[in-house]
Amino acid sequence: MIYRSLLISIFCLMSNLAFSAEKELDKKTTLFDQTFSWQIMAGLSAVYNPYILTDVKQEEVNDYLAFSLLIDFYYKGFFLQSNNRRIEGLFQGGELGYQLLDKNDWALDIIAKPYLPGFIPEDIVKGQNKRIPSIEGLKDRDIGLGIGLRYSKYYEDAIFSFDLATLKPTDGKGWLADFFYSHLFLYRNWDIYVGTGFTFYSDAIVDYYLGVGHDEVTTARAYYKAKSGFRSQLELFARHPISKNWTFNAGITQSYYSNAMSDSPIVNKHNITQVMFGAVYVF
Amino acid sequence: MSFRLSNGFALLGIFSLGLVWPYSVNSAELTPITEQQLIAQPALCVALHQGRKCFTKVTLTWHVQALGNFCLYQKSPRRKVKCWQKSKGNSTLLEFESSEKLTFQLINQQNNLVAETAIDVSWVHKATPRKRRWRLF
Repeated sequence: MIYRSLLISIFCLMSNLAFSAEKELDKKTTLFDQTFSWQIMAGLSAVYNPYILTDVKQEEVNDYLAFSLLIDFYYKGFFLQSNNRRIEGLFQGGELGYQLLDKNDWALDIIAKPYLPGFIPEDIVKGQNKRIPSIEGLKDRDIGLGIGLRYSKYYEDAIFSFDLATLKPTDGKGWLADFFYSHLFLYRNWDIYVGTGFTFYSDAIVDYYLGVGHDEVTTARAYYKAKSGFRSQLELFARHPISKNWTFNAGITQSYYSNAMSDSPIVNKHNITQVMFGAVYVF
Repeated sequence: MSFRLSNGFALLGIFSLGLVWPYSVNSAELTPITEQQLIAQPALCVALHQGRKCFTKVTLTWHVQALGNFCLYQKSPRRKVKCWQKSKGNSTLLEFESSEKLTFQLINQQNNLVAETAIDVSWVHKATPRKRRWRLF
């Protein structure tokens, strides 16, 4: 209910700001030399993407391969954009939004995006070649679709952004604050990004995804009421053109999860290293 | 939109095929060296983004029918690349670094244009009105 109210309020705010934003677009011929643009990309990548959940591993060859369709669309301040660094997909990286304010060196957007992937314990167990008592019988955790505001600050070769969002599966009780800084280094035809991120999750979010309810308690997992927690990240990503339509992409991300997450009976990791490399075709 | 592959290797094959097909139009492959010619190899430099400077190593090869003194010039801005004495053919390696197409000319000792070639610049991503921020995972 709170989530729905917030959604309505933000879209009302968006409507009020739309007219003034339109006027700004007309003036900014450098940045807004196009009012409409789109781009479609398809990617194939190899990914090493371990789960934080206890005993869940990448098992099959297909678990290490990912195909993705990435769509970017922009029209007069509205945008749909996929995460074209994150080759694995739109669902965990795509964003639908509206540009409330866009100045030379900063911007304010309203965005809707899946902040957390969610999981279906039954499907996870089916995909593994073994029993996982800590996961079996858990209720589904829905995708963490969130709506929020993003402030972005642009520098010469870097960007800082801050998202404040609430997530739908927690009925608006859960919120997160996401800070991200990325610096671009150019070396010949390479784009090399070095980034760091910090995401604070409220207790309602951590508890929804990693808590163990009274009705989920078994001998393999005790009751767990989670507190608020955070994830910090370091990433390195590189991109190089192969041809007019193809790019090579590679990246590594190191994530650290706070005690509120790693103390959960369904989690057994503090740190995760994720690696991907692949090619993207730009249509 | 993300898909786990049920037949990953088949798709890998398709993508690999596409990967090698469209790239790098090379003037050396299109026309054999016969008369007075100046050839750039590769003749195309691809940058990631429109407007970005493109970097590549280019071999410029020239061939004429009679011995003479020749100089290779970049057309605009005009810059001498290299000269040869009493030669009818040679090549040089060039560090190409430009955001736009560059033309190179072979000039004889009478200051006449003998042959000309160009190295084009292309890009993968058009300039976009949106500034981007992305996280890998």
